[in-house]
This record gives sequence, C-alpha cells and structure tokens, in this order.
Amino acid sequence: MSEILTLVHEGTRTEIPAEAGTSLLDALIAAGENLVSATCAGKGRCGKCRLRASGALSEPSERERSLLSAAELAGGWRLACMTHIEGPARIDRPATTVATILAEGPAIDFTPDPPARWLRLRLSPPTLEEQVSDEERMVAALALLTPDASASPGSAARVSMAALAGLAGAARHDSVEALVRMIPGRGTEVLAVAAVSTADQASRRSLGIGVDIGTTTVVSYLIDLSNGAILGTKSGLNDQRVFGADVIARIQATIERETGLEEQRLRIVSQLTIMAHALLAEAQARSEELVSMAIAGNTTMLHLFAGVPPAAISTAPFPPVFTGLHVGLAPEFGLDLPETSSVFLLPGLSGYVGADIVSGIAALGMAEDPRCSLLLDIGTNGELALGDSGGILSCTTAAGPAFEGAGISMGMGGVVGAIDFVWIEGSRIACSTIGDAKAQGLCGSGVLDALACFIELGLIDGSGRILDAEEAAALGTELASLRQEGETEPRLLVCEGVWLSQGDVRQLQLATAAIGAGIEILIKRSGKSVGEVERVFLAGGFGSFMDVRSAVRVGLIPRGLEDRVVVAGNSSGAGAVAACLSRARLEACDQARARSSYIELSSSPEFNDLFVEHLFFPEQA
Amino acid sequence: MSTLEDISALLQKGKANDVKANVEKAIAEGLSARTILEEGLMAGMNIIGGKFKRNEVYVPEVLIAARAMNAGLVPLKPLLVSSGVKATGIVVLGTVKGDLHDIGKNLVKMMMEGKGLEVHDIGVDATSDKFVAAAKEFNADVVACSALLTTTMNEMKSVVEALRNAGIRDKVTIMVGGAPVTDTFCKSIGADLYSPDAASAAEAAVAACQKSA
Repeated sequence: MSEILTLVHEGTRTEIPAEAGTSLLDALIAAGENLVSATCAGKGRCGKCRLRASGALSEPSERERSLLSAAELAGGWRLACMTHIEGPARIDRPATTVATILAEGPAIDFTPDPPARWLRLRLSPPTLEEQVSDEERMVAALALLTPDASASPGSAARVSMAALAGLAGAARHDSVEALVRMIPGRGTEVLAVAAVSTADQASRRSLGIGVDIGTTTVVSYLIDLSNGAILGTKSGLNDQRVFGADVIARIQATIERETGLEEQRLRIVSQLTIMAHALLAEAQARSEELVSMAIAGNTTMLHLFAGVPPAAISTAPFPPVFTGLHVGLAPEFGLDLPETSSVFLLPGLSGYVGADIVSGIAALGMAEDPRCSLLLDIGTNGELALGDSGGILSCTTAAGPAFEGAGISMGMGGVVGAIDFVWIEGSRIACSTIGDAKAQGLCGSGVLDALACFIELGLIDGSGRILDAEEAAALGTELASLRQEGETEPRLLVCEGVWLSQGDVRQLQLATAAIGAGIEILIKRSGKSVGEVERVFLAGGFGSFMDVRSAVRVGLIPRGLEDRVVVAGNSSGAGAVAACLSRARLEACDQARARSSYIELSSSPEFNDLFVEHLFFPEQA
Repeated sequence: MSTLEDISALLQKGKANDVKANVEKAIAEGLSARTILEEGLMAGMNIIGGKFKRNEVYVPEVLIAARAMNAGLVPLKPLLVSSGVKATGIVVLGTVKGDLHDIGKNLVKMMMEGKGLEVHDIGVDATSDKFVAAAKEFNADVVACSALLTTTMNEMKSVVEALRNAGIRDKVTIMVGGAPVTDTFCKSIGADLYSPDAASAAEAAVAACQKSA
C-alpha cells in the first residue's frame, strides 16, 4: 500500500509517495533525493545514512541499536537503510553543509587548437559557368583553412545531414559559420552550419566543458576554446552516492537492482546536464556555443555514464567492456544539450586505472617528459603511475576510505567543524578547524596530521600500537594527558572531544601500507631508485590538502621526495579541459594510454611481502 | 623468562629476527621441535588470535606477528619433518575464482598453522576444480573458501557443488568466510561452517578435524 513520506526542512515540506515495507533509503532513492550517503550501500554497516525520522516506522533493528546510542535513538535518529515505512512518516531534512571539493586544476600551457569548434568559412560565390553545390564550396573553403587536416587524398570533410539543412539558408551569404570536428585519425566532419552572426549580435563563441566524474565528486569546467580561459566551475557530490560509496557498491547495485544501471546512468547524465546548463547560463552563452564535452573518470564511472554494464569489472580478471576513446554527440548519451555538441569519452587503461589517471598523465605531460615522475591519486583506491617518456607503469592499490574520513571513529568529510590541520607546539598538540568552528571530527588531512604528530611524539610506536598508560607517563605528564582509555580501546586526544583510537590507527596503517608498498613496487619494477624520481604529482582532493611532511612521516610517501612534490589538483579534470582545447592533448591521452602498462598487485606475492613491511611506520629521520 | 616465553612474547611484538634467533637458541638448548612449536610459536600466535577475536588487536598486528612466526619456522621446519610431528588435520584453503583478496585468507592460514593444522594454500582466484583437485591430492579434512566481494561470494556455491559432483562432499567439512559472508549465506549454499574471523575459523577447523578423526 502506498504511504506518504514527508520531508521537512527549514519550514518547507515535500511529500513523496512510498510503498509500505520499503526502507527510508529506498524511498529516498526512488524519489531522486540525495539526503544521505549510503557508504556501505545500504547494508546496515557504516551508520552514515543516519537521519531523524518519526511516524509509522519499523522498530529499531539490532544494527541500529549497535550503531546509534540510546540517546540518539530516543532523539529519533535512525539508519535510513534499516528503517522501514509502515504508514505515514516524516524525515527532518538536515541543514546542508557544503563540502570542500577540489576544483582547481594545474595551469594549462599550450596553444588552443580545439578538436571541435565554430569556424567562419568564406565561400566562393556561385556562378552560372561553374555550377557546384553549396556543400562542395564549403568543403573547399574548409580545406583551405585547415590544410593539415585535409592534406591526404580522400580526407575531404564529411558533412552531416543537419549541417546541410543549415547550409541551405546560410550559403546565400558569402560566409557561413560551420561547427567542425577534427579528431586525429578520424577525419574532419561538419556537424552544423549557421548564418554568420549579424552586426548587432555578439559573434558565436566556441565553448567546451571538461568533466571529471569521480566516484565521490563530480566537477565540470566551462572553457572558452579560443583562449583556454576557464569561464566557470561547478562541482558537487556524485548523485549516485545513494547506491554506495565505492565502485564495487555501485557495480553491485547494477547487478542486484533490475534498474540499477539505468537509475545510475540517469542520475549522472542529469547531473552533468544540470551543471552544463548552469555554467552556460552564468556565462550568458547561447546553447549552440557549447561544442564539446570531454569526460574523464574511472572506468566504472564511464561505464555507468554510457549505460554499459560494468559487472565484469568487479571480479578478476576485471575486464572492462571498453577503455578506448569514444566520440559521439550529446543525444547519443542522453544529455539534454545541443544535438551538435560532441562528447569525448576519454581513454583509460584497465578496469581500475581509468581515464581519470590517463588524462592526468596526459595533462601533466608525463609520457613526453624525459624526467621520471610519480603521480599519486589517493582515494578509496590509490591509483599510482610512475615513469617518463620511455614508458609509464601504473597500478591500483586498495587504500580504503580512511583518508576520506570514512571508517575512522571521529572521521568526517571536509565540512565546517572538521579538523583540517594538526601540529606539535612544544610538547602539546594544536589544531585548526574548517570555518574556525568548534571541532566535531577529523577530515582526511587532519587524520593524517594527527597520526604523524602522535608517531613523532612517540605515543604511537613503529608497529602502530598506542603506548599503554605507564609508557605514556614516562614521556611526560603533558603527553600522558593526551592518552585516555576508551570504552574498549585506548585513544589519543587531538582536542577536547576529538580523538584517534587504536582501531583508527590500524585502519590508517593498512591504508598507508597499501600506498607505500604500491610506490615501492612501481619504483622497483621500472628499475629505478627513489632518488631518480624527480617529481611527485599529488592529484585529487586529499593529495592537494594534505601536509607532505605528515605523509612522509607516516610512510605514505618515501622519505627524500618531500621537496619534489607538485600539487597537481584535479589532474583528471585538467586532462578533460585540455582534451576540449587541443587536438594534440586529446591525442596525448591516446598516446599516454599506449605508453602505459598496468601491474596487477593483488596477485603479486612480492606486493604482499612489501605490504607487511610497510605496515611499520618509518623510524624518526 | 624462559626461551619459550621469550619466543611467545617476541612473536606477539612482531620481532621477526629476534624470534628466529630465540628459536635457534631453544634448539641449541636441546628443546624438542614440537615443544618449541607448541609452547613457543603457537602459544604466542594463540594469544594474538584470542586478542584478535576480542578486537583487542587488529589486522596489521596479526600480519606482523605472522611474519615473525614464519621467521621462527625457518630453522624449525626441517626438525619438525624429521621428527615426524603429526598435524592436527589437513586443510585446503583458497580465495574463490574472480577474487584476488589475499590478506584475509593469509590470516586464516596463519591462525590455522598456529593451531597445528597442515594448510595447503591454493592461492587466490582459485577455480572450484582447483579446490576439488587439492582436496583429493592432500586428502583434506577441511576445504576453506574465502571471498571478500559481494560479487564473488556466489562462487562458493560452485565449490560446494564441485565437491559434491566429485563425490567427496561428505568426506570434507566446507568452511566459508570473508567480509560479505554470513551464517545465513553459508547455510543457503549448503556449506558447513561460517566463521566471522580468522581466529574462530582456526578453532572451528580444529574442532571439525577432531570430529572427523
């Protein structure tokens, strides 16, 4: 039977219908709401989908009783995935807090030569003596303007039917504007033709959008393709997050739910469409000015966007359906954008080293540089690439979500009230919070700093053990006061009410060991030494906000490389921007892919040994 | 402290080199290989296993202790073989097809070896045929399957079926484990035992072997 679920937020009410017996989480998903994150994909494990609900609801389950305190339960807090609707009910929508999402990419330094753009073509006038079609006159004019793309015989531009229709009216003037697409190796196409803008009209711009679809966050950049200027940026949490926090959960949702693939495809397609329209509106652009959208993302995200089943990526040997460059038009992907906007799905390497890493390699020019570089993108999966113009080796390593604040007792995202930096002042610990608010927990960079500080102070030994009370007292009373017995395990206080527990340290140990061992194996397999690595690019949100000294102190980055670190920001997004802007950069993605090879670590006994070695925190410098 | 107590204490701290040195010292002192194994190495591993079960220690410490145990076994193994110490039981252990997760399975292996079981590790991404072949070859008492992914755990059912088709279903105890696995799942696929953690798995395997002996 259908019941009514009411969402209440700051005086506004939204009513959504929901079948009795469904969970609050499923009801919210069905209604397209993104109220909560289901980090464990609705399995009742993570406790992150908590919300306040009342009305005719199922009794709190055993899982809820273990994940929520008695006070929270009494206050109406429930887990959305475990609470079932039995009649009319209401949810108090929490005040939204804005996450700090990284949207800065490295500066891009090259001449714009976009693969898709509007070109003004001067047509020779038609005469009675020489009767040639408008199409032929336009193709001839285009060949004059783009000699390199039209050099070889048989490479004359193809003209789409839609473009011919536009040409009919426009060609009565001596010039036309043509939307031309030139992809290396794929010839030249004319996708649309329009009359030249009149004097009282601003001339038609060529705009592109570079997109990075991350498992957690989605970022879109609007670019003026004539000069490379970024006209605007939109970012947000990935709307698919209600289906789970990591790629395995998202894949699982396509297997378990009959419509799981389509639901996730629609969410990302509409999210990108909304972002694009907002960007175009803010830049006061006409919709036909949007000529291209280049999309980078991990392999699973690109499968979900394209509506291609990603199921096989979740089991060994993890074969993706596709990794190559795919070029199409907006309607083919269901994007509600101009029909003549091109979409470039950027190439990846394997199921777990996707277009996000390959476009990062291309954007940073790693495969063209004789200097050896290391690219680190630390998320739930740590993606690593090492190499130079002689070749690139890449691997992926299961770091777990600890550095994103998940699975850590006081962990939280980068929102107001999160401790973002921790440092040592004399023999005490000091910290700062985002927004200078009262500390509520630790975000990724804060977790890393806190760990490094406690190791440095000797409160955590090399094997990751928090000293017992007697040992801590021997270090001095001030340090001893940072240690306290928790309910089941010792804790180290970062500030009042915020701590790192023994279990947290163990989680972090696993994460740093996975990355540390991954880096060591890449360096070994490429026959290099740590000293030969000339640049370390840190990509992604965590890499950009973290303190490099802390990363070295806990063994995440090899000692000796701290002065070679370059914060690369959203290098995946930068690669997508570059692909819209330059044919050479789009081609570089393909070249980076061709010059890269992938090492599967999970089947390597050498990796398992190195992993255990890296569980130990490095000795003091 | 006696050398045996030292071995146990050092193993718990994960001091691989010191464990090895003390095992050699114990051998020189004339202690039997069996005594060193049971009252030194296994005693230490059992304490770690118990703490692991009670969430007092975590995966990294077990891995570190297991590394120390392996170091201690190096000088001991030839003596164990020559003195003919008999295993408590024989286990074939692997991670199922499509799944490359190694660490959880290795923890189980360590805990089982710490209980004196003879463990044949057939590795990761192991097909059901591989489980059957190994069970036959080693005349296993227990076949233990690990899966860490919701997408691969159904492969455990294939292992149960393959053992049935090979006609050795009733000769072995089938154990299953891994993060997404539950007791309900274990029953639904017709396996025998589910264990929530590596230490319980080792205890359950010992119990199963004693029953079948």
